[in-house]
Amino acid sequence: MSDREIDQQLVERAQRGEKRAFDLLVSKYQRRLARLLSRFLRDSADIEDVTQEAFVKAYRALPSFRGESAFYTWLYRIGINTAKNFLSASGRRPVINSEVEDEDGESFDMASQLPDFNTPESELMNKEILNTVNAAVEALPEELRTAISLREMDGLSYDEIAKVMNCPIGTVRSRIFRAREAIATELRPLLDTAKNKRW
Amino acid sequence: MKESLSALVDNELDGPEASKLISAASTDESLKEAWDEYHLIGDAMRASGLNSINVRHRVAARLAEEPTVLAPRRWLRQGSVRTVGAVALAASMSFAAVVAWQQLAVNGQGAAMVAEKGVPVQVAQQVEPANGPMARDNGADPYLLAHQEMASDPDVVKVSLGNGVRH
Repeated sequence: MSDREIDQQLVERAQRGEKRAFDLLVSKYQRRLARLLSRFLRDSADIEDVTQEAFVKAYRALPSFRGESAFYTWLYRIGINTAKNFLSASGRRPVINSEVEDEDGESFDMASQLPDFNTPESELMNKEILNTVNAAVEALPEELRTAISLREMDGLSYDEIAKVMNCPIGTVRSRIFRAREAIATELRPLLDTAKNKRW
Repeated sequence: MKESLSALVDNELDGPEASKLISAASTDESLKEAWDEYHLIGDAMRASGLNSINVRHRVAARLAEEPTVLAPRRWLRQGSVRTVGAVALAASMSFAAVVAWQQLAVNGQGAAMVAEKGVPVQVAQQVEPANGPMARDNGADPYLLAHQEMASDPDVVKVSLGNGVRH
């Protein structure tokens, strides 16, 4: 099932009144949306506030979402408008005033242009997450590390990974799952600490 | 279950199993946490930055105060709506066909016989008035005689307009 099909199912559930289905979309896209918004906003608290506001607006607008574009493209448009309104209301100028009105949401993915995430706490947390994930990946057995890296960093399908690693697809699936669980085990204490804290 | 969720995150799960898992992940808190963690791990491995952002709980708290959105049914699964429409149309046509068939069976015995024989109805032969001004001998109609060769079926020319004139 493609990304778009998964999103569509979640959207339809939310449209039928299942707020928890929308929660999964928030989990999935909050960092990508925040990354987009960081092109407009300097302050990390503003980025977080506008990200939150954009999701609430998206939820309110769900009845008008017909699935003609991908959910994230639609969400990103709402995010951009929310950021522009926020800047206009606060009399501030965007960090980077570049054109991002692209139909393809992926074109917004320009991590290299990100401004510093300049709240010390946020910066620290961000670094801690990255360090924890990197250390957990390094500590994985080689076959798990290779499988998860080929998937997450190179974007290979299970079939392609199976060919590269010369093993059945079921083994690839199992290795990627075990890798994720091992990394998540290392991350959980950090995330539990952060859960009720605003970064 | 979590292994399947991991595969779903990678778009490697299809069909009913995927739909079932999406449904379960919407309600099961441990699956929801796993969904959150797996996406975070992916974002962190791609070094996308802003990994510390987490508005999920704040958005959920805001949405709890929002009225539940309910989209009009027509936006939901347009394909299904089309399918339902096609089934309804087919059912209507079937019903109409059954009714028509019953009508034929009750009232249309004569017609059915005609259809079986495959010949035109001969209604005009008894219509001819006995003593009307236009009464004439069958064999002596000059118009008929003149055009007889134009009729492919000799029975067809016996249709009457009701005034005794045959064409």
